[in-house]
Amino acid sequence: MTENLTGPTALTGREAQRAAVRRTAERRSLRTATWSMSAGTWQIGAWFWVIVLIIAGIIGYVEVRTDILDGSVIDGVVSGSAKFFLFVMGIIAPIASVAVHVAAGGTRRSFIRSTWCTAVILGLTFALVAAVLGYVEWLVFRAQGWSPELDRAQLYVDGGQVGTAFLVQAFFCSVYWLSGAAIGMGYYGFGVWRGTFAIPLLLVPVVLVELAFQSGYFGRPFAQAVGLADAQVLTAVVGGLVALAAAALTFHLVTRSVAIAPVTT
Amino acid sequence: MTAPTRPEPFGVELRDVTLSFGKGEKHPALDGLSLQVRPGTITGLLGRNGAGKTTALSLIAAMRRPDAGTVLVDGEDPFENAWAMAGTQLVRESGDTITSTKVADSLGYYAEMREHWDADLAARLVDLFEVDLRKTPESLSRGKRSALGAVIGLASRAPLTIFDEVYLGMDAPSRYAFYDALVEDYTEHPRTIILSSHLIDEVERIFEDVVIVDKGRVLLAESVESVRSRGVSLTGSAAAVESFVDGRRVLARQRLGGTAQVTLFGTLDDAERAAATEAGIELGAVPLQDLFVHLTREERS
Repeated sequence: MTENLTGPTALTGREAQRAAVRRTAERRSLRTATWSMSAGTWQIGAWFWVIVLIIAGIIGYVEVRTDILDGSVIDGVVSGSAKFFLFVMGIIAPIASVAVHVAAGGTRRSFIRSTWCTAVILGLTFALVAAVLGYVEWLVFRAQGWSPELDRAQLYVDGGQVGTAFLVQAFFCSVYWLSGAAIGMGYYGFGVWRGTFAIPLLLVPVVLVELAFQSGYFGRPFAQAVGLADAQVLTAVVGGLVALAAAALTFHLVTRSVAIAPVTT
Repeated sequence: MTAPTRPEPFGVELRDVTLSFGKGEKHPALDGLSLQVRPGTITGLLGRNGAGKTTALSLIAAMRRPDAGTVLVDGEDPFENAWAMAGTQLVRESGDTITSTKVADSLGYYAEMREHWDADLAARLVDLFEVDLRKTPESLSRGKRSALGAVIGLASRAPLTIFDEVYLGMDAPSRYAFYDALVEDYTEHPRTIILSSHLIDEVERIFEDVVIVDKGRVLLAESVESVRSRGVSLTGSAAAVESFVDGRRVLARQRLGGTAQVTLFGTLDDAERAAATEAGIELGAVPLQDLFVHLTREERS
C-alpha cells in the first residue's frame, strides 16, 4: 500500500522538477537569443544609421545648393532604407545564431520566439530613430521656411506626425526583419533550390504590410492597384498586424523542425 | 540565492533508428541502429568514416529527427524537449560558435544558456589551450577551433556531454591536455560522456564502455574490459607463436627478427593459456584498435 502511495507521488515530484527546469531553460534561451540577435543587429545598425545620415546630408546639401529640394530627404534615404537593412540582417542573423543556440541547449521553439521578440524590438527601436530623425528634419525645414511634406507618404504627410511615422516604420521594420529571417531559414532548411522556390510565398507578409501602409516606393502603387489607397490608420494597423502574424507564422513553419547543420568556417 | 542542484547523469537509448539523407546513398546513414549508453560513464563511439557516428550523435542532441525508431535521452524523446536539450552538450569537431564575432561572444552565449556553466574552468582551459578570446572563431587555426570546442564541452558541465571528433587539428600535447582535463573534470563532476574518435590508441585508456558502429548498425556495444577479453596478444619466438596460432583467427601480425607478436580474436581457455606459457609465449591484452579494425573489416568483407 505504501508503495502504491509513494510511487505516483515520487513521479509527480520528479515531473514537477523537470517542468521547472524546462520553464527556466526556455526563459533563459529566449532571453539570450533575443539579446544576442538584437544587440548584434544594432552593432551593425549603428553604422547603418551613421552611413545613411551622411548620405542624406550630402543629398540634402546638393539639393539645397542646386535649388531642387522638394521634400523630405530623411524619409526617402533613411527611413526608406531601414526596412531593407533589417530585411538583410533578418536573413543573416538567425542563420548565424540557430546552430549555436541549439548546440547550447536551446530549443527551436525558444529560438522562434526570440526571433519574434527581436523583430518587435528592432521594429520599435529602428522606428523610433527614423521617426525622431524625420521630426528633427521637419523642425529644420519649418525653421528654414522649406516645404516639409513627403512626396511618397500616404498615412502621414510630413515628419511632424511623429506618432504615425513611428507606427508605420515599426510595422515595416518588424515585418521586413521577420520575412528576411524566414527566407534565410528557408535556404538553411530547404537548401538552395527549394529555398529559392519558397521566396515568393515567404514574401507575402512584405506585400501585405506594403499594401496596408501604402508608403514608400512599392506600397502606394500596390494600394492604388487594389483600391486601398484611401485606407485610414486603423485599417492600416489591422493590415499590419495581419502581415506581422503572417511573417511570424512563416518563420515558425520553416524553423520548427529544421535540421541543424554544424557550423563551418 | 542557492547554486543550482548538480544534475544526475543522463542515459541514452536508441532503438531501431533509421535515417537516410537521400536517394543517392548506397545505404542509409543509420540502418536500424540500436544502442544504450549507461548514465555516468565515458563511452567511446568508434566507427570508420561514414559509419553513422556523427548522425547518431546529432539525433541524440536533437539536431535532427530520425526517419524511424526511438531516441531517448534520460528516458525522454529529446527533440524539442527543453529538459533533454538543456542537459545535452554536443561538440561537433570545432564546436558550434558564432563565427563572425569574437570567441568571447560565443563563450558568453554558452555561459548564458548553460545553467551549470563553469566560467573558472572555461578561463583555465582557454589559457591552457592558448585560445585568443579577441579573435573570431573563423580566424583561429583548426587546432585552436577544436580546443575552443573542448572548452565549450567541458565548461558546460552538461549531464550528457558528447565530443564528436573534437581532437581534429589539435597537436599531440593539446590532445593529451584535453584528455587529462576531461578525466579530471569527469572525476570531480560525474556525468555521461560520449567520445567519438578515430585515435583509438590515444583514447581507449579513458573509455569505460565502447560502441562500434559500421554502415549505420551497431557491431558491438560492451564494456572495455569485455571487449578486450574478446582477443589476446601473444609475443614470443616466431616459430612458437606461429605454431600456436595456426588455424586460429589472427587479427594482426608483427615480426621483428626472430620475435613475433600476433593478436588473436577469441579467448583462450586455461589449458590453452598454460600451453602457450609452456611454449615460452607471453600473453597480453589485445589493443582495442586491432579489434576495431578486424571487426569493421570483417563486416565490410
